[in-house]
Amino acid sequence: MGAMKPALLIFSFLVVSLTMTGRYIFNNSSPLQSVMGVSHNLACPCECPMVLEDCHMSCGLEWKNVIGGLLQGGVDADGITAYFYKRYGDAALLTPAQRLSGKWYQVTRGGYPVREMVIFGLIVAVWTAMLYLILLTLAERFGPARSGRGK
Amino acid sequence: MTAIALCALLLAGLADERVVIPAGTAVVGADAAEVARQLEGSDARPDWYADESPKRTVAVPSFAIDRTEVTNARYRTVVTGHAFPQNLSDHPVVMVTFAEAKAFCEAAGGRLPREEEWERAARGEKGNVYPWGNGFDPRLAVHAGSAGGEPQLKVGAYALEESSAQALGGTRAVGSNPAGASPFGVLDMAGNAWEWVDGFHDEMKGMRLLKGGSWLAPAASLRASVRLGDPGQKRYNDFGFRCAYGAP
Repeated sequence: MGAMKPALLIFSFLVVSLTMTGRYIFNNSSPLQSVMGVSHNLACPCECPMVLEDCHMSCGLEWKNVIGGLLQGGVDADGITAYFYKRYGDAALLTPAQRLSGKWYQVTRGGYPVREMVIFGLIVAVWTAMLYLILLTLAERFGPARSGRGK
Repeated sequence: MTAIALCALLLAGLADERVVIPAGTAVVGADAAEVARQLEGSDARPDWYADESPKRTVAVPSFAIDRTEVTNARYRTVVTGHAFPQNLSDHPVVMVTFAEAKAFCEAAGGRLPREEEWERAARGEKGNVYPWGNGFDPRLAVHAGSAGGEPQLKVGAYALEESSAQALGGTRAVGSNPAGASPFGVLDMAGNAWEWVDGFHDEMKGMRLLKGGSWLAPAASLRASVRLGDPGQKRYNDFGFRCAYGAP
């Protein structure tokens, strides 16, 4: 069991950090039929390589106004994406690589946010510890060491 | 409207060319399978263009239509406060709402074309996919792929950025692609500026209808059957119009 502990710890850290990073990048925390919900899947039209939901420049806000007008008119999220594609083509759509670079830009555009990164690290550490303890408990109860003692 | 504006409009109307479209059958829309085939090779999802279905034929009486989109110079003959850079006088007027486009055409003694009229003027008797035929040719329309220097147009182009000098965007002089004319000789039916037409994209939602694609649009949106719905109350630098008139 002793040899398993570092592996469990690394596994817990990877699961937690990847899940939380992926959630930040890909999860749409707003209702789909809302300005932010629709903006989650569109590119910012300004020079910065951002996801539209994170863009607060005037050109980005204009697109959000367009989205708001269409939502008020009863157009659904998919219809709005179609509207933007018809008008602007690929320039309006996000590729996975654009989403990654846009989110990275969002995090680092004002310099490296040390305080936020420390908080993020602490949250990852807490969740990693919780997952590690759960996995360790399960491993001790059901793992090969316990089976061995039973013989 | 002042008497001076009326006189100017009359002169401009004489100067602006109209094309008489004979009575006949308009091919309107496209079937889903046809749309899917036409979109092969593009990133467009066929269901984004599903509003073009079904393909149908509609009898259309004779009418006349402007050979080109209404230009900035012509628009100013009626809307005296309309400002634009001097070098864009022969570019299509943009930044007009549906109501403003309709009012201009009525002041010019015409009206906005109906969708079936617009498609007949664009697609000809055979119902072409594009005004010039059935195959896409990027040289024949002012669109995103032909803009040239697209990156510098991005700010203040994809969005309005009205504070920018580029607010009017990247249109080109009307009629700059004569080889892209429709079978009836109507110009710029694909690209340059989306054109308001009379009618609705979705009447229940109050969505007005635009046709033809623009200088920002992808190739997939330059097909004559494409329909774009917009509430019609905001001004955009890729929305313009042309007028239709009763049979001469």
